[in-house]
Amino acid sequence: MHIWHLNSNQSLRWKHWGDQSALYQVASGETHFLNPLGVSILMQIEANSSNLDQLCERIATEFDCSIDDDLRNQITASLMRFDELGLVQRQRNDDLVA
Amino acid sequence: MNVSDLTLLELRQRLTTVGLCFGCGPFRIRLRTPVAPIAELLHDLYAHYPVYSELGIDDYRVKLDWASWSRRWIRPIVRFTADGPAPFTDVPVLRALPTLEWGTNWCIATRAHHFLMLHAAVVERNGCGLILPALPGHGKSTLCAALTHSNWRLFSDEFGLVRPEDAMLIPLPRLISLKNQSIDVIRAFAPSAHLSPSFYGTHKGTVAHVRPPLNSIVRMNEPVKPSLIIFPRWQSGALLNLESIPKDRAFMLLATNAFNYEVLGELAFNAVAKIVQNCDSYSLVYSDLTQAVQAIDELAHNAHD
Repeated sequence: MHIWHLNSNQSLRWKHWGDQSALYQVASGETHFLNPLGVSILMQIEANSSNLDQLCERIATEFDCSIDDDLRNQITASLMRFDELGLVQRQRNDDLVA
Repeated sequence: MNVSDLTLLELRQRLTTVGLCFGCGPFRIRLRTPVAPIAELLHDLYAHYPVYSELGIDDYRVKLDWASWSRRWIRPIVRFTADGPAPFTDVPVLRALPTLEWGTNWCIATRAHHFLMLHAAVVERNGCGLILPALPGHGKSTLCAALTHSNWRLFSDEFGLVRPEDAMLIPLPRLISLKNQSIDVIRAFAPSAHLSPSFYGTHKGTVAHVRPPLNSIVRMNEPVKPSLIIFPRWQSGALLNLESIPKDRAFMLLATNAFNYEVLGELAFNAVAKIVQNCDSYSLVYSDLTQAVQAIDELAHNAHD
């Protein structure tokens, strides 16, 4: 299983208004607008590198919902998008152990 | 001393020699031109701008010149330049003033990157800074002219200048450019408005310029904190519709509307965030200018309370 962590080259700036958030990615100069799920995923990873199971567990606790396929798929899709944007990186567990 | 304190002859002498150095908001502009017909228009429309000494350092040095000596008498054409090659094609002398205005705007838009530049009209009343960002054709300048003649102070009809360090709005009271039907709309709405003659056949159609009221120029060094953002859109026959916009959407609309958001990067991000944080944001669809001004007055009154 992959471990997800913030791209070490990235410096991020957050602005929050209630459940609305904007994120400035210093390296690319891009501004992103995130829904509460996206914010939570990134903030969880910012706090601790995590695998998908760990993320699902923490986010289910935060949003008070059950861990099902729908949640896993949403989190996976968000991670893939963050990866494309250069916000996060994934690393195989084996690589970390090695 | 203001431009109106110069005689027409003195103004012409400056324009053809050292240049007319005048202040507009934070900028010092030096204008040179041998094109005599424009002097009378400038004497009238630039009347309230302060005249500065020719010895200072200019922000912009603009020139309106004859495009060729042979074309000076037969269908004369003029050329706008600003310290370099002409950025636009030459135009008939009858369109010299709109070209000078657009050219000066172009200078500001391409160089004033110490400010965040919103593509927005900005006005102020009783300490309430109102930003009106809009796409071309959405009635931004018309609404700005109407508000300016309804006890609001003109900051700009085109450039929402924001000081990135503290997100304060900076006045830049240039002439308000009205196009096509808007010219008669403002003549009817504000008979006291001081308009230039109409210039026909420009690439934007018929254009006329409104002279900024004296008070807006006298107070052009007084910034204001933004309190209200309204995204206006004129739509023929539409009933007035005012809707609140959430802050993340307001942020996105404001950032994408800026001329130089990407240039300023994190400074711009922080400035836009601060503006959005401090302002209520609305979309406004309207067809009746009087109703729109009244609705804005009420919003501003409530925003200030």
